[in-house]
Amino acid sequence: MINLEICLGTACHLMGSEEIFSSIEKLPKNLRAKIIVKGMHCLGACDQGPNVRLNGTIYHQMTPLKLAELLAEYGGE
Amino acid sequence: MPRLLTEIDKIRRQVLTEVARLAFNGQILRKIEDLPYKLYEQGIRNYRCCQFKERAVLKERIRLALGEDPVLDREPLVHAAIRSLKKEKIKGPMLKVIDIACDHCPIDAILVTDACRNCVAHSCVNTCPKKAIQIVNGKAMIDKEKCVECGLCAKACSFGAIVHIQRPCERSCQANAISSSEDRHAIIDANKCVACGACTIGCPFGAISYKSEILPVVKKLRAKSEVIALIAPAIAGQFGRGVTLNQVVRGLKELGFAKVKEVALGADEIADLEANEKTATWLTNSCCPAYKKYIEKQFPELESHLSKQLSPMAYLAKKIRLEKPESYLVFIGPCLAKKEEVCEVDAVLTFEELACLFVARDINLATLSEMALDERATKYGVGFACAGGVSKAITNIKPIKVKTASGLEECKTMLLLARAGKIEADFLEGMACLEGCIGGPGTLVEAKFARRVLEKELSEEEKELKKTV
Repeated sequence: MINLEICLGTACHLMGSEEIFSSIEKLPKNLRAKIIVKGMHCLGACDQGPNVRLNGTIYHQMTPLKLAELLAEYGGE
Repeated sequence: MPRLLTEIDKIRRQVLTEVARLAFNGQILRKIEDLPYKLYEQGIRNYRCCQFKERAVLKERIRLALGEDPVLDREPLVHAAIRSLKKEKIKGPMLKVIDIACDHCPIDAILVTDACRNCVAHSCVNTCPKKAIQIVNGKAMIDKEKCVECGLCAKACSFGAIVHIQRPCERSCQANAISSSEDRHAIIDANKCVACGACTIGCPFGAISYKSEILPVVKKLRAKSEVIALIAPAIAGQFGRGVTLNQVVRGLKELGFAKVKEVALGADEIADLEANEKTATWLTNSCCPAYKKYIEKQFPELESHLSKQLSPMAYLAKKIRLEKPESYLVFIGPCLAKKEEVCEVDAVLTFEELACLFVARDINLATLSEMALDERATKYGVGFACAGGVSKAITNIKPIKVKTASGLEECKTMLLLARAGKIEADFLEGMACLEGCIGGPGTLVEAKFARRVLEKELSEEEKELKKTV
């Protein structure tokens, strides 16, 4: 399983974390099934949002495209 | 958002946030000159040819954030800042072209591509009303002297081999207010512009943007004046999933707003007044300022059909002003056209500008406690945020026939039909933005997400009401 935590803080929201969230729904079904999504209040890097945490590792300046690539990598393991 | 978030939005938001941060800390004059360098260091780069142009564009974006016109001269930012800090109100036109950011894109409107197969039918040659197309060396060729750029050939080609290219700014503008100068940079004709803001989204170079009003608002907040926030109905869901309206209210208080009022309260009363307004034939709404301006400028003969009522924002502001003459009224909404609406409101912020103020003050709405509004509007008033909402509110009061249109393109069709007497309706609802206010250029989330949140909130409210009854 992949633990995906997405920051919903205002700084991350301003830089597009909502799009990150909605992009999860558009992933291929078999990949989506492996992901546990959780919304977070802050991941502590507000000037580098949107931030996500994947199985404990924080990634900054996330975009739906970058995340899809990362998830495919994590999902392939 | 009317479309997915782009780099342009992110850059604009970073600029607004940094300017707001300086303003809150009282460091504008000391640090504004360094801001282009700071933003460049922060990663706003690799978009233009070199760092000098990058910073020159940033400088213009900062000028807009300060509420000043972009000018592209050697004037130091600090001079613009001094001027701006003295201003009580930022005056329109609010939409401005940043000349140095404009790509001066080519205007070869009709182009035959390599996909041309030199087919037997030659639909392009046959459809051209000006006989401007010939077949040369096995390919269609357009005689530029004869071509009137009607685009019929592009539609006729079975291969889609002829493309009709329009400058994206011009294409986005339904009011035909954008043209190009001799050196091909975009020009906005203020006499035609309805300030809908579609061009700020249309230009992929971010060369059209709006003058921000964050500076005068921050000034009032810092001075601890009685600043009252008038929040638009479209606010539902704007600050992301997990953030409730009551958290936004708490956030506004933390920013220094003395009071928060829902504009939907005004909408409730306007719906009532509009439903009972007497007209000879049909009536149309006056709440959408871009749509109203569009009628005034493009369909002056239909002006008499416009509702005589104030917009909910203006109505509520007038009411509050009577009670509190000294207060400073800030409308917060999804709209750029509101920035040019003349009324008792002192400043207009978009949801985007408000979010930048929160971030500048390190206020994280997601972590705040709830704070309820002391007065809530009905679901009909709140419904004004979505296309069709005004009609719903009115038909709830009086069963009349309505017709709705959202997006200026659809509005234009509706108005043309109405002018020709081909619409059988008592009330025409026009919204300049697709989907209504939730699709406005100053929003933070996609319209479909906002609509989902709004519908959920309204249905929950109804359930609660039933419980208490």
